[in-house]
Amino acid sequence: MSDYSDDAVIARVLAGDADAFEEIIKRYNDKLFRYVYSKVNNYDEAADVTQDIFVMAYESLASFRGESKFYTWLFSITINYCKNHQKKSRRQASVSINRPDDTEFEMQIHDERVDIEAGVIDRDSLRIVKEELFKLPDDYREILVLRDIEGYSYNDISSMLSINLANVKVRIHRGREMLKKRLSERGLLS
Amino acid sequence: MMDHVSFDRLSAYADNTPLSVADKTSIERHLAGCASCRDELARIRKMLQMLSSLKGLGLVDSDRFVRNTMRRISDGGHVVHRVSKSRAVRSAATAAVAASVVIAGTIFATMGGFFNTTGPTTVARNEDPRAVTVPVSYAHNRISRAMNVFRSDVEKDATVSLLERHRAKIIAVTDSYVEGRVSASEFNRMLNTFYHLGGRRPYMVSSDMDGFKTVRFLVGEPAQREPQTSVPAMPESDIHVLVNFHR
Ligand SMILES: [Zn+2]
Repeated sequence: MSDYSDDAVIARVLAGDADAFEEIIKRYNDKLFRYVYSKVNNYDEAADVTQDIFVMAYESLASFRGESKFYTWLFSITINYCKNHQKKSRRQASVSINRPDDTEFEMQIHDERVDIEAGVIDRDSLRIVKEELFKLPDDYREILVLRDIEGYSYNDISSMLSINLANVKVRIHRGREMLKKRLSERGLLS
Repeated sequence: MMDHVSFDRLSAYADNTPLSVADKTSIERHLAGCASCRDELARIRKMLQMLSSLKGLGLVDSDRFVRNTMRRISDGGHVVHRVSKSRAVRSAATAAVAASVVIAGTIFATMGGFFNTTGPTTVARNEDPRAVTVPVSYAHNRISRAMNVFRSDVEKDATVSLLERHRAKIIAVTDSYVEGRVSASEFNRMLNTFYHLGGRRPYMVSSDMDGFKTVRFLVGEPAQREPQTSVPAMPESDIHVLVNFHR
C-alpha cells in the first residue's frame, strides 16, 4: 500500500475499502499534527484535534474531487478546522487561561526525534526556534510551518490557504524577517 | 556600490524557486562582492535549516494514534459508499443519466444505490416547486463523487434548523429525510461543524452545476450499516474513478 499514490489509496477507500484509509493517516499524521500543534500549542489537544480532522476527512472524502492534490485538500480542511476550533477555544478562554505546558512532549523533542539532525543544531537552539516561531502572529507562523517545516511549494500553499501567490510570498518573507530578528536577539544567528 | 540585496530577495533566493534567471544572476553578482549580504544569506539559511529540523516534532506514539483513529472511524457507523459495478450502472440508468467517464484500464464507479428511490411521499415545507420533484432534480445535476451514505438519526426539526443556520433552502421534509440546498461555502462550513453538532451527517450530497450542493439528511431510524467488503488488490494504473455524470 505504501507504494500507492494518494489518489490511488483514496480511490480504494471510496470503492469501499475503508481500511485503506489507514495508509492516509500514516502518511499525514505527523504533518497535520505539527500544523495543529503550532496552532494550539498543547500536545494532547493537538493530538485530539488531529484525530478529529482525520475522521472528518474520511467522512467528507467523497467531496474530494481530485481536481487538486489530495494533500492540499487535506490541509485546507485542517486549516479551516483549526480556525473554527480556535474561535471556539477563544470563547472558552476566560474559563481556562493558563494551560500547563506540555513538559512531557518538550522532553520528546528534547531527547529523541531531533537526533536525526544531530551535530548540526543543538537541542536548546531548536527549542528556542520553536518558542519564537510559536510567538509569531498567526498568519506568519502558519505559513512558515507550511513552507519551512513541511516544505510545501508556494503554489501548494496558495491553494491550501486560498490566498494568491503574491500574498504567499509576502507572508513568507515577512514571517522569516520577523523570526530572524527574534532569533538574532536570542543570539542564535550570530 | 549598488544597494544591498533586500531581505525579500535574499529570502526568495534561499528558496531557489520564485526568482527569474535575471534576478538570480544579479543577486549572485552582488553576493560575490558583498560580504555583508553573504552573511545575511548565511543567517537566513541557518534559520531555514533550524526550522526544517522542527520536523522532529511529531506524535509520540504514531502507531497508537493510527490504530485509535481507525477504530474511531469504524465505530462511527457510517459507510463510505461501496462499489459494485453492475449496481452503479443500474443506478445510473434508473436516473436516466449518462456517464462520461475517465478511463484508464478498469473503471470503478463510486456511486451509491440511492438512485433506486422511487418517488417519495413528500411533505412540502414551503412553496418551493422543487419540493415535489426531488428525485428528478438529480437528473439535471451534475452528480459528483460527493455522495456519501452516512448514518444519521437526528430529529427532523433539529436537522431543519441546522440547514437553516447554513442558509439552506429547504427542499423537502419527509418522514424519512430532510433535504436542502446550500452554497458550496456554507456546505464546507457545515462539514467543518457538523462533527461538533452531535455527529449529524448528510446521507447524500450532490453538486449542482452552479456551485450549490443538495444535501439530504436521514431522520428517524438510523440507516442500515452496509457491510464492508474488501476490494481486490489492483495495480495503481488500473485505478481511475468515475468522475462526471451528466445528462
Ligand atoms: Zn550587499
